[in-house]
Amino acid sequence: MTEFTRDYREPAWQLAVNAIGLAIKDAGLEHADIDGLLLNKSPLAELTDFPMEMEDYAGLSNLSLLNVVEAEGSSMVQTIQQATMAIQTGMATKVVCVFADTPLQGGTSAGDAFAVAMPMMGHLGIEIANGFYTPIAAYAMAAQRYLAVHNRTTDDLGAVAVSNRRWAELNDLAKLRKPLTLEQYRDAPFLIEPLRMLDCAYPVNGGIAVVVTGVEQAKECPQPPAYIYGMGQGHAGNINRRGHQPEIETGARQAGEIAYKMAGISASDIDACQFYDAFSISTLINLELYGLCDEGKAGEFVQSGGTSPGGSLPVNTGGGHLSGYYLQGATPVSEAVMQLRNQAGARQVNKLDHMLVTGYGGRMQFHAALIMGQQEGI
Amino acid sequence: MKFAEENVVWPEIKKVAEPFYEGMQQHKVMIQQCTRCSTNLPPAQIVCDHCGSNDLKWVEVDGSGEIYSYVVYHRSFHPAFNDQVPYIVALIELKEGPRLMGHIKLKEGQTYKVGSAVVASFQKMDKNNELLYFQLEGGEN
Repeated sequence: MTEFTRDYREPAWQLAVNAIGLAIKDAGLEHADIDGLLLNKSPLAELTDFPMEMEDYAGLSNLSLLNVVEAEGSSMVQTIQQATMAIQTGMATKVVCVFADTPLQGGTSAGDAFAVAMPMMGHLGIEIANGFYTPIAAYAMAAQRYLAVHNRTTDDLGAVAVSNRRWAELNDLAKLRKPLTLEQYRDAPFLIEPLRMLDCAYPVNGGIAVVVTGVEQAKECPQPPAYIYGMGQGHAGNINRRGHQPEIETGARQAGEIAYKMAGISASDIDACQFYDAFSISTLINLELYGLCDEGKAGEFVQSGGTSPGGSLPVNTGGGHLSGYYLQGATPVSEAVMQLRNQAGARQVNKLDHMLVTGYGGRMQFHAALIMGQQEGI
Repeated sequence: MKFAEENVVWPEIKKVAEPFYEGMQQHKVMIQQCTRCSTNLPPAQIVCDHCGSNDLKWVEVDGSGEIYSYVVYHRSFHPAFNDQVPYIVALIELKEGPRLMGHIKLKEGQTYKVGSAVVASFQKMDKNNELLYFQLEGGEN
């Protein structure tokens, strides 16, 4: 991982090169050992900002696997899935997966950086004429639907922000660490109702890379391995008609079912979660669709402290996107690796037989999940 | 996107969506219908997600339905909308099934929630374009 900053210092490709070098060194490897490179380009970035030529920028000239994976926020988990499949088929043996982004360019606020029309209506394109700008709006639409269907209040959303902040207080890498109460959350103004600024991710510039390799090779590395037991994807479409609720019934359910089955476990075996949580509402929906809470009950669970430090199901233990750092799918992956290596310091979770690590993209259309753990076998 | 007039933002209209925009000019709400399985589809689809047919036709509906979900912008993210905040953007589930996006414009004292009944109305944006929006049922002009 590079340093995470709120000012612009280097282009994304340079941050990626730095992260790749740090990951290779951390794994006790040399550049010549790396035979796979999977690039997680930010959807905000141009392909020229994060090109295939990254192999040359990073000094990698021995690759038998190279691709730019573009599945929006699910990309980082997808790079690890593709790396795992490539290793299992023998196409590669040591694959670097890398993400870097610089949403904060000099002079632009986070709001400006992400202030694009949010596609919800497909080819119709009517969002632009309606002033339906920024991803916040799509998640506000999902949140309003969720709260209405389950007859809940924005306290459920606030509880997610508070839980994340409590974890961030324990994490030196987190950007927002000042204690936050539900009362303070309630007093904050709406941005796009029912969401407040505290419901939204906190962007940074930075780069994160991981090395994926086979079990036997991993044992020779100086760091304790983080094992992968199962993986899945779910893409349930965006069908805007009666009988479908794409805002709150997402592909997360399918991604989870496939990943649990591959790992030979069920949702009740999960000890902790690292969710992609660019907005608070997504944590509530993911807790339910990944089978960890009954439908409509996630808010009660979070409000009771279930996901907070000391709770029965630690969630986003570094502060997540809301209070930690928003580097898209690389945020949950980075926290998962630190936890699984027992290197999470004050926020270390004790029992981590099965951790759920997820990514999603768009307005929660594209989902990818990993089941990971600390032991070689389950 | 393009600026049709000052303070009006209008999308580049894809060919597949043209009947919807032409309908709005004539104060008509147009949706699509699958000719094979009769499923009503939100515009602008290429293939019926129910049966896979690509033989779709356009049909006019009266634009009444209910609020499926909504958001309220308390801050503008585009200069064309600076004078409109706070404004409500909703997904409306038409009684025929498809959902459409539009503003909800309230009259003094009106309250609304998910499930409230609404009817279609149109707002002149510039000399060529009218935009669909919704009003609460019973409160229309």
